[in-house]
Amino acid sequence: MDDPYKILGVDKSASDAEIKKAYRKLAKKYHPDLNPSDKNAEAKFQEISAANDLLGDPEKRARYDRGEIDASGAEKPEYQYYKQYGGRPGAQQYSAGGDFDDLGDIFSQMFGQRGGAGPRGAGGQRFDMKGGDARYHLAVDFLDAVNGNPQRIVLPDGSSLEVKIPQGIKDGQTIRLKGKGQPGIGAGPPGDAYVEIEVRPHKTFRREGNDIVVDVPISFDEAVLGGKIDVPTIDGRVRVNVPAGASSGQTLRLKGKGVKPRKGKTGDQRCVLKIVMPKKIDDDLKAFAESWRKDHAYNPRENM
Amino acid sequence: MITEKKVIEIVRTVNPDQLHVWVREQWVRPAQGEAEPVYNEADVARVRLLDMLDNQLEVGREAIPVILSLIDQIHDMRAQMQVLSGVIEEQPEDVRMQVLQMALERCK
Repeated sequence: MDDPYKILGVDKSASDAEIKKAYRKLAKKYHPDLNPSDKNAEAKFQEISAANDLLGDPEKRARYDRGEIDASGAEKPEYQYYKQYGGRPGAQQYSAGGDFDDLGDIFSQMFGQRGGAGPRGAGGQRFDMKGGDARYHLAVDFLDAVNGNPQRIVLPDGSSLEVKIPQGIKDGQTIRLKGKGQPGIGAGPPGDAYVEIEVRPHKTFRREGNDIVVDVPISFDEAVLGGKIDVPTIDGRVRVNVPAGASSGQTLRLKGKGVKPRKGKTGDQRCVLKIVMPKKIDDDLKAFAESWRKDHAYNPRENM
Repeated sequence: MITEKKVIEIVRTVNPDQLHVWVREQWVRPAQGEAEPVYNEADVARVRLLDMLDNQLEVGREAIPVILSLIDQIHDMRAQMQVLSGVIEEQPEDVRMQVLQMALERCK
């Protein structure tokens, strides 16, 4: 970083108030959110902020003046500016209206003439405006999200809103309910409701893409001898064949038993086997293991 | 899930009373959760912007809605321009060149 005094355009003898004033003046000019299209503004603003962090703090300033720290002495964690979000999904609550019929003068001029849609607000005197959008956050149980079970949001006024959950919805997706926002003004249509979905975790099932992953404990004798076991899936229990000699970490794939999204491929269920020894190792088992080890010892770590 | 408590942890120069004023004024519009407001990353960035305007730059409360409205309009316009340029990009080469040429001529 260059000389912080030069960056703020103040004298080395400037008072704290003068520095604060100089900083504010420059910050107003260069704040990235006030210059969303200007890439240089962000760099410039960072420079100004860093200079202010240093000179705005009497102790740091004194140390800098004494040459104890250099100008980059103050580092800031990465800062997420609003301009990284504005006009994008996730910030639609701050949009004046992103609908095609609201797209304003540019589009209505372009397509209005050709499509014969006519100018908006033809009434002349009357003032019509689309109602505001409402935004809700809804936490949904894992299986309700996977299976697409409808939910209800209770509004502050006691009324409620039915939300159809598309089968297989993912955590963080947003559902738009057209016309369920604030009422319109005049003959304007009502706004929309946006419902952000949070999917609650499940104690047994995990989701990876459209696959469901389940840890399945098996006993030591099931691992040795193999056999049929019952395993939970998102639509009930199924019988699964464990091969003889199964190891922990081995995966059994149940085709088509994963998430069935409205669009896209149905996932599988992956059962990750986990051998669980009995709670107490009795004398029989101990004696058997000791005698077995004499002639059959093997090293599962030889490739480590 | 970002709760109000978390927002105040992230943006440490903001206090709850101030945040309540900003929400009441609808300068920040968190989603309505079952028990309390829920913020997303855009809301948190917006809180940072408001912190800058209100606490660091002290632009004055009366000026804030004016500034926010202008910023929101710019972002809307940018989003619309992106839609438009996306559509132009999908046009055949000769149409694109024609649009570009006409636009350049009119900007002169």
